[in-house]
Amino acid sequence: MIEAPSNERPVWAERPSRTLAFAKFIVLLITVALVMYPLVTVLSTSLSSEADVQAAGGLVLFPHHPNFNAYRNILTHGIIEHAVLVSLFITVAGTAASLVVSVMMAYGISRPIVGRRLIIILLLFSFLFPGGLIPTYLVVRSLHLLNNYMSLVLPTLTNAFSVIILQQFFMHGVPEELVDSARIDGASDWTILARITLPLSKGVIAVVALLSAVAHWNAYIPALLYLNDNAMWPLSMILRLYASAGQGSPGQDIPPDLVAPPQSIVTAVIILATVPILFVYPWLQKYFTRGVLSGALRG
Amino acid sequence: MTRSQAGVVWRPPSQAPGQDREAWQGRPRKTLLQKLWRDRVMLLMVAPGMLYLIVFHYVPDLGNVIAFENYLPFIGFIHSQWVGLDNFQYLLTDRSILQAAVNTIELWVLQTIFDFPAPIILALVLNSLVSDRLRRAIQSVVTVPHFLAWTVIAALYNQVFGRLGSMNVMLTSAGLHPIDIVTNPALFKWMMTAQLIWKETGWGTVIYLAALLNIDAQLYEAAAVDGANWLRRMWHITLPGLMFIVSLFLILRVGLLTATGGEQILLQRQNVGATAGEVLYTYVYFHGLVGGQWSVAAAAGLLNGVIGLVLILASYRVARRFGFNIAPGPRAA
Repeated sequence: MIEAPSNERPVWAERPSRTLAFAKFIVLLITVALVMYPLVTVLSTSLSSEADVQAAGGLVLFPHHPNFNAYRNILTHGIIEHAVLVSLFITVAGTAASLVVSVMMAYGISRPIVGRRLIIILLLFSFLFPGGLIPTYLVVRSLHLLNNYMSLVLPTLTNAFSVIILQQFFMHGVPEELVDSARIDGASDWTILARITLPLSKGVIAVVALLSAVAHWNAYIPALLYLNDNAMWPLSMILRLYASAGQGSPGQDIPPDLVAPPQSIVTAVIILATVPILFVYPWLQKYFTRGVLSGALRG
Repeated sequence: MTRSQAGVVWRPPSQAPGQDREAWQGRPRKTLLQKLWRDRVMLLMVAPGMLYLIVFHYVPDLGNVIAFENYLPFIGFIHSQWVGLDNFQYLLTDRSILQAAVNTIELWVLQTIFDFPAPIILALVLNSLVSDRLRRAIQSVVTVPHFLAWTVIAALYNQVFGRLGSMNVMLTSAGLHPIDIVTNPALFKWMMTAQLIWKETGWGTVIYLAALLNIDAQLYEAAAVDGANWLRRMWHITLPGLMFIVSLFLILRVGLLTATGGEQILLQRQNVGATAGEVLYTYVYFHGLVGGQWSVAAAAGLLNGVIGLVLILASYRVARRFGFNIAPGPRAA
């Protein structure tokens, strides 16, 4: 993205007037504050003692007596501990499976094979016209995947976006001469994929893997649709319960014992669902700011 | 065998039939079966992905036949009664889907008016910053929400605006009446738009900033030398430089009309109920999976999907006029 030459104002540009500079400053300050406020207060609240939360009335801006009681509490609380493990498992298994399938498919259609055009058309059409909610549910049910963790992995195994990004990179980012010379030297397609294409495509594969991992970690719709047994739920579904807890909105499917958990517990669950994302965020940012996506979008 | 041997015969280029390039080059033409055998390894690699597409996209596409049946889960779609277009006729008279369609359009309009320009404005401000480091720092903060789950965002939203949220606590402690925001139907679409702005604005700046960087710096310099102040430079250089990408994204947005809301609304519709909160996407879920009106919901989903497909293809076609190839098909390669 940004490769500005320097941190200096170009010679031709005038200094902005005070009012303008001040206005800009205010706009940016408010923007950053609006983004940070919920995240910071929720984090602080999760670290506060219940007394401090009571005193503040709801959210705490700064934890005066920081402690990890809320986290200790939820991580020994069977349901949430289990949900975290489920989410981790789905994220790892789902991302791995998705990566293998997407990379193989992308490699296949990056070469001039028979039926390639048809395969690409089928892939793009699946993107333009997603299989409907109801028919997909019926398929999952008839495959006996309801209340089965495979239902969180298989229906989103790959997608046109990932495959096309990978395919474009395999075609344009990997020198053809290299592939051809390997072929002349007798390398099989599996060898070429493993020894040439993959090592040269680490960056784009990392992007696809990270996006897939974030999507799996964040996903709640597959669990909502396919897991009726709430003992199997991933963290996103537990969070969905906690999110609206205590808001007293009518007609929600909240079990009575979950109606008003202490504020620090609710916020700790929110943070728990957010931390893995923040953990991989620097890598995400690194790749996106390098223009991987805009490169793919250029078409 | 005889056919491929015949192909070896050399013919001068002038006589070569257009499609028989392989033949006059002296290479035997391969039959489909031979080609399949030649590409067997590649086809094996593509197979899992194709199997996935067939099972989870194309079989469900065929499963849309239940939209033309009175589908009963325990009978199965083969034995369920065929009713033709009855379900679609029912939809035309169903007030709740009409309401859902109106809500979808209203939400889309609000998003287009408020969420669409937000990243452009932020990108313009960020672009005007002299310090590269400051810009990067701000950008890395404002892009975070894009990667957060809707479940997290809905939870944060309740923490701030809910009945027990920090805003109402502050109001109460200041001696004022708490305001009902989360469960207020009148505010629902506005607040959903605000959530979307919160989530996606920072992310949106990535592309606009890239476009801004592509504008030739010499243009600014020349304009400045000619005496154009920042406002005129913005008007005559920056905005025209952004026009292409802005109009493109605006066009593509039309194609997303039927998908408006999605996960976000599915998660939060129940805060305000169906009248204010139902969109086409959630209609299918609540009437089909929750309500058990399988065929009606499938019909609504099918209708929505087809309209969405038409809109997307139309918007891509218009975008192509702008010289933008969205679908990197085989020809683009």
